[in-house]
Amino acid sequence: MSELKLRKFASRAEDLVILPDLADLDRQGHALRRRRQAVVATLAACLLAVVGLVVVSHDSPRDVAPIRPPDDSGGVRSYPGNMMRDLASGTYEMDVSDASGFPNVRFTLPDGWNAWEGPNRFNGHAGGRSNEDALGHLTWYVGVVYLDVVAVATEPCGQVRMVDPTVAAVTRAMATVPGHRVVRDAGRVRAFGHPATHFRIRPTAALDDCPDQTMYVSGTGAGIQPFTGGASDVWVVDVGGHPIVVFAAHSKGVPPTIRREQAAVLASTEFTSPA
Amino acid sequence: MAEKETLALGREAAAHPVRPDLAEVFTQSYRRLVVQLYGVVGNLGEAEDLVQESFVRASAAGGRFRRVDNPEAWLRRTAINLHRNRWRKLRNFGRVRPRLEVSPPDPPGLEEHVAVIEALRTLPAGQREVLALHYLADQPVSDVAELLGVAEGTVKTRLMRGREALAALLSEETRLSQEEEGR
Repeated sequence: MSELKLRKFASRAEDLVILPDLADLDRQGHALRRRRQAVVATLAACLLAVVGLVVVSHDSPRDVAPIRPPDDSGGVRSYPGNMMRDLASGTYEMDVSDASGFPNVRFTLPDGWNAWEGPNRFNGHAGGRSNEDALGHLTWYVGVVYLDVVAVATEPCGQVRMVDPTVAAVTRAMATVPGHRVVRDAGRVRAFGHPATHFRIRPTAALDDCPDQTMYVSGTGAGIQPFTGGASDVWVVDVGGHPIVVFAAHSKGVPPTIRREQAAVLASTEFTSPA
Repeated sequence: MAEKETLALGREAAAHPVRPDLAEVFTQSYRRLVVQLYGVVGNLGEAEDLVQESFVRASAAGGRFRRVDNPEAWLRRTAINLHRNRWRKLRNFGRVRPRLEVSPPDPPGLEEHVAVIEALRTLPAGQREVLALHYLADQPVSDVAELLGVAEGTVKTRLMRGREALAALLSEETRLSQEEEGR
């Protein structure tokens, strides 16, 4: 009965929908495509200039590799976001920010990584079902997150405060994020084909009372908790003036094959125009 | 020419030829997709916005969209993904949202169906999504599961609970209406 009412509602509502101007939508689509092509050209020029050389600090994932020209020929899937499910292997593209004109990121995953705000991997994945429960029992963890950091906590268990959207301001905020200490400061490097600042941070006991607090707010509106399971490599990447923060976190006890997978995910990372 | 005259005459935009394949999908699917998304999000304006944005992305995809086997399914998936990303953003403001939330206006002409719309809005988002995709978009359970990234069993459970909740809400509405008429 209720299904019948649903269908009647749909039938009536369809008659009432007003068609917009398709030519206008198509014009917007063409403009979007032109912007994408312009960024592809810029990235290709950067590639020639850099000759694929990426410098990262000692002991950070070695093969944070030269940026490749984005593959615009298809085969790239939209990253589904926080689904807590295993993903098929392949190349994914995700929105780093809701801000207009902000670059997107593409990366290639091996089979079986989990879909969170960024891709991650831990033991106890549930195959075709939700990996949410496994989070409570894991013994090792790796993850990569790409963020347009718009706000950072002001103290270990405090409120977040907005950060100026400049590379310098975001770099300062990330290097002094409360509840963490910088265990290695590699300074200015080139990573993912762009100028970047790289350091490694480790959580301190100051976070013990509030491990679930929001530490960062991303430009997509997601609140990100601190990674308290071990160290995180952090790159603040200057992508044409847009600061993009790349986190690569890992706990102790991660199988070497999984660490290599994480390094490969970072190596595949490239920034593209928004789709 | 004076500015007033220029404004009065306007600037005629150059004619923009729309690709025939996109125009065909638009004619066949736009209204249907808007209603399906209306069911998913419970707000006609937002549904229109999501579907229009998915057409913009289809246009931007160029040849890739032309090679898609099922363009309507591609557009639906894009619109759903856009909605889920927005919902993720809104979720962060969950504490203040209930205080601000008011029912969005419904389009004129749907007065007879207000009870259905209100009942849909009352359901949890997960149940509303599967009901809309299954009954409004005629998607089989397996496709709904794939689209939402959940197990088929989850879809079946949500469908069952959603149907029950919808039936209960609509029968309550009917009872109240009858009482109202009896007075």
